[in-house]
Amino acid sequence: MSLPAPKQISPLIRFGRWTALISGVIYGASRLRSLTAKEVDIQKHENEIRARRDARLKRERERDSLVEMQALAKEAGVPQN
Amino acid sequence: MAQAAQKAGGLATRLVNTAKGIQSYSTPRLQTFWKYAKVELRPPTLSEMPQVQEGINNIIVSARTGKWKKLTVKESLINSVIVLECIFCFTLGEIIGKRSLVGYNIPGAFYPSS
Repeated sequence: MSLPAPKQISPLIRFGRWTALISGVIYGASRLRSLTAKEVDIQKHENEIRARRDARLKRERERDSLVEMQALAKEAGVPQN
Repeated sequence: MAQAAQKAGGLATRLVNTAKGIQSYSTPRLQTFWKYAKVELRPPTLSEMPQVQEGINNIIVSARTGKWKKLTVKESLINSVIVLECIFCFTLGEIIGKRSLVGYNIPGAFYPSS
């Protein structure tokens, strides 16, 4: 099997391909940089929300466990003061 | 003990043979690939830029004067495939630039664990 000779591709097509490739690399890199920069502020805002939510959940869990322990104590017959 | 030593020697020779096999299989194929890529995939040189400029002018003139309506369907299909190929090249460049295959890996953003 003899392979055909390499074909001469028109320079316009090659120019289009390589321009698209290089501009794609630039676009991807610059978009990655801008999105990472935006994410810093979003994370700062979300960290505050997360801190508030964790504090609330901790409070609710402690309150629920306190109620449970009091109910258990009543069942077990521990003298209530 | 002697069997273990024999097995270890066998593993080394088998690895070497595998590497040699990979090399002997891939070298001629890589050479044919390079033979075609050198001509077909190379970037346009400075001396070919006038042809590029002429091609762009042809496209603009045909869009302005309405010559594009006189293209055959086959030609227009080929042109559409070429444009699609350029868009694929742009996407490939974007994958290289964002250093990830699918989506941008932003540190700190939410990633749902599958």
